[in-house]
Amino acid sequence: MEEKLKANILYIIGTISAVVGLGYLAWEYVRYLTEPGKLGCLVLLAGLFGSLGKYFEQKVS
Amino acid sequence: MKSNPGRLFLYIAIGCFAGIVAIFVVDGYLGIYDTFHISVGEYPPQTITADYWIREDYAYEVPYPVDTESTQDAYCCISADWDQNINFEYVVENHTFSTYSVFIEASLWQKGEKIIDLLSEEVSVSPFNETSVEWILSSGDIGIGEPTAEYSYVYTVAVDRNEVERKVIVDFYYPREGGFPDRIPAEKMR
Repeated sequence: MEEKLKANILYIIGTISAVVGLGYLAWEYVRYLTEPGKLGCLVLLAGLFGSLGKYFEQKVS
Repeated sequence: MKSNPGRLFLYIAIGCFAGIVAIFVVDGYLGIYDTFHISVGEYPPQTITADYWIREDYAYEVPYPVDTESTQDAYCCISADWDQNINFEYVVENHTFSTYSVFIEASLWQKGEKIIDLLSEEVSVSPFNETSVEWILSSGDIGIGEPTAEYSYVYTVAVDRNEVERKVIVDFYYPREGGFPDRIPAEKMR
């Protein structure tokens, strides 16, 4: 039980670090995008998360 | 062969991710870019690429800024001896689908005052092509005939291209009072 808790904590730390790191890199790149580029990325990002959500929804049900 | 319908959304998600990456690549390539190649004497030319100007920390404090503020966004520094020329090459790259025409002006400034015009030229760049303009700056053009107590003379070269302004700090070094020391004969070096 204690081992599992330790593993879960490490997973959480790893996940947060990955998200923060990716977010930082994305921010660094997005700063230099043009306005149409930013809009395109936003639309595709919405499509990305929407599709992933739908995929996992169908997988679970 | 029957495909899993749930996979369709996974493929769409992958397609969206690929689209985002493609936007980053294409958006980074398209646009108007400018590059300086500045050479002095026999030294290899210093190159200032367009990336340099989008950095936030490139502003350099110079003693005699063009603007009234104490710092200015400028490249620092190009140094030359009083008898050397500074050769500028300014390259404009057009990474767009239409012809880019622009009026380029280069001038020399000191203490907020324009000293001389260095270049005034209209250029036209065809799509996905580049063109360059060149000019030479020498201390003789500036007119420092009799340098007094000052050891170096600092100037700002300002290049205007539409609403884009680039500034490069240049300085000319003069010998102190008494001039340069005499050359030591080779036999005395041994």
